[in-house]
Amino acid sequence: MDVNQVADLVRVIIARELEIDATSLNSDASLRQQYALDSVAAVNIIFHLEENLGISIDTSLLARVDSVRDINDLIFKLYAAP
Amino acid sequence: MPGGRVVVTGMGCVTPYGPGTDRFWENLVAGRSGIGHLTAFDPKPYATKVAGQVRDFDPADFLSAKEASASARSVQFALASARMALDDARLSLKGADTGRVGVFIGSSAGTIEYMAENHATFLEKGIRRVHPMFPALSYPGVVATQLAISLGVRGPVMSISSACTSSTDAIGIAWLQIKAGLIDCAIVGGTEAPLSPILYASFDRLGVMSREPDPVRASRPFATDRDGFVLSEGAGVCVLEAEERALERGAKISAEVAGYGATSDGFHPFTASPDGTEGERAIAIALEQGGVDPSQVDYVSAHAVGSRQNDPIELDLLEKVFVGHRTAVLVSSIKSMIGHTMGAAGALQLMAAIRSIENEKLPGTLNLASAEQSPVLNLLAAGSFETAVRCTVLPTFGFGSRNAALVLTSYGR
Repeated sequence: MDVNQVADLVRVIIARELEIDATSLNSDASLRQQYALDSVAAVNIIFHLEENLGISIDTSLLARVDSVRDINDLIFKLYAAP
Repeated sequence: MPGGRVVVTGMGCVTPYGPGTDRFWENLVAGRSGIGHLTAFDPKPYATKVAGQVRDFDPADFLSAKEASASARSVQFALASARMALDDARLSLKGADTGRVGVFIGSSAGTIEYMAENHATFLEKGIRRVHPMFPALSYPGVVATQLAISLGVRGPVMSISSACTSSTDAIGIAWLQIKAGLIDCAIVGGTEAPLSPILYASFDRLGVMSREPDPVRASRPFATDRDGFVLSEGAGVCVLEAEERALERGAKISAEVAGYGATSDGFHPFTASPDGTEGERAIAIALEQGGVDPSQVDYVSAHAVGSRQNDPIELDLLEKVFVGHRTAVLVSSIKSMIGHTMGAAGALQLMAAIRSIENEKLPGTLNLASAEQSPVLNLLAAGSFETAVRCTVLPTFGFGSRNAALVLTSYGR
C-alpha cells in the first residue's frame, strides 16, 4: 500500500468505529473532543489497523495522538518501517 | 397492570430460508425444506454432511458496519430479527423511555463459532491478533446485551441458556415479568449459530445427527425410519407487550401468550427420562397458567427433532396430556423443514404458530411417510392444512433433560 491507500484505510476504519461517513471526518479535529472517541473505540481502531496492515501498534503511542492526521502519520511510519 | 394479558405485536426471524417472517411462513406451508449440504466448513471428516445453514443473510442489510464487525453471527441474527420485529410492531424505541422494556434472548451455544474462530486465530497468529474486546463480544450474555445497547433498552436484559428450551424459557420469563407488572414490553426470542466444526464434530461422534445424505430427506421427525436431527442456524425474535399498552398505542395484536411452564427430569446430560412425567407436567403447568383446558387445544407444534430416542417419549407424554380430554389433536414438526435451531427453536415454533392462527393454516411434517398414529394425536404429514386454530401448545425439550412449554391462543379467544 502507498501512503494514500494507508490514509484511506485509516480514515475508513476510524469512521466506521465512530459510525459516521468517512468523507465528513475532519482530519484535524480532536477525535476525543469533537467525535467522542472513547477508550473502547480506540482499542477497536488499533485492532483493525493491526489486522489490516500487519503491524503492531503500541497502545501508549496512540494515546499521544488525537486527530486523523496524527494517527495517519504514526501509522504510516510504523507501516513503512523496515 | 399485574396479571393482565400478554400479547405478541411483532415478529422477525432469520432462518435457513433467509431473513424474514413471510419467507419463513411461505416456505413452511409450501412444504419446502431449508436444509442443504454443509458448506460452512469441509464436511469430509464427518458422517453427517447436511445442515440448516443460513445462506442468504447479509448483516449489512440490518446492522451498521461497526455492529457487524463487532458481533458474533448469533448476535447478528438476533439483532437483525429484533429490528424486523420492531418494524413489524411499528414500535420505535429511539428516544423513548425504555425503562419498562426488557430484552430476553435464549441461546444454547451462544457465540461458539466466534469463540472457536478467535481461538484458532490466537493459536495461529499469536497475541497481537487477539481482539481486546473478545471478553465483551463472546461471553454468553452478549446475545441479549448487544440488543439492549443497539436498541437503547434500559429495562432488564437477560440471556437465557437452557439448551434447546432456551428461547421458550426466555419468552416465558419475559411473560412472567410482564404479568408481574415489572415491565410492559419485551424483545424476546432465541438465536443460534452452532455451525462450528468443534460442535458439529461432537454431535457427529455422539451419533445424534441424521446421516441421510439427501438434505431434503435428512430431517424426519416422528417417522419410523428417523435417524437423528439436522443442526441448523437461525433466530426468532418477537415483541411482547402488556395488552393494555398494546391497545393504548393501537398496535396490531397477533396472538396471546397465555401460559408458560418449565420443569426438569433431573435425569441425564442428553436424553429425556423415558417416563416423560416432567415433560407432561411442564405442559400441564403452561395450560393451567393460561386457564386452558386440554380439550381446547387444537394444535401442537411439536419439539420433535427426529431423535430415535426422544421423539417417542414426546408422543407418549403428549398422549397423556390429551387422553380423556379430546381426540385427534393436530400435531406437526417444523423441524422436518428447517432442522433443529436449538435455542432458537421455541421462538420459531411460536412464530409459525402465530401465522397458523392468523392464516387458519397449519404446516405439516415433511418426510412423514410412515409413523405410529394414535387416536389422541393426529400427526400431520407433508403439506399444509386449512383449519381454524385458536389454541396451541408449543413444547420444547433440551439437553440436561429439560422441559418447557408455552400456550399460545388467538387474541380475544
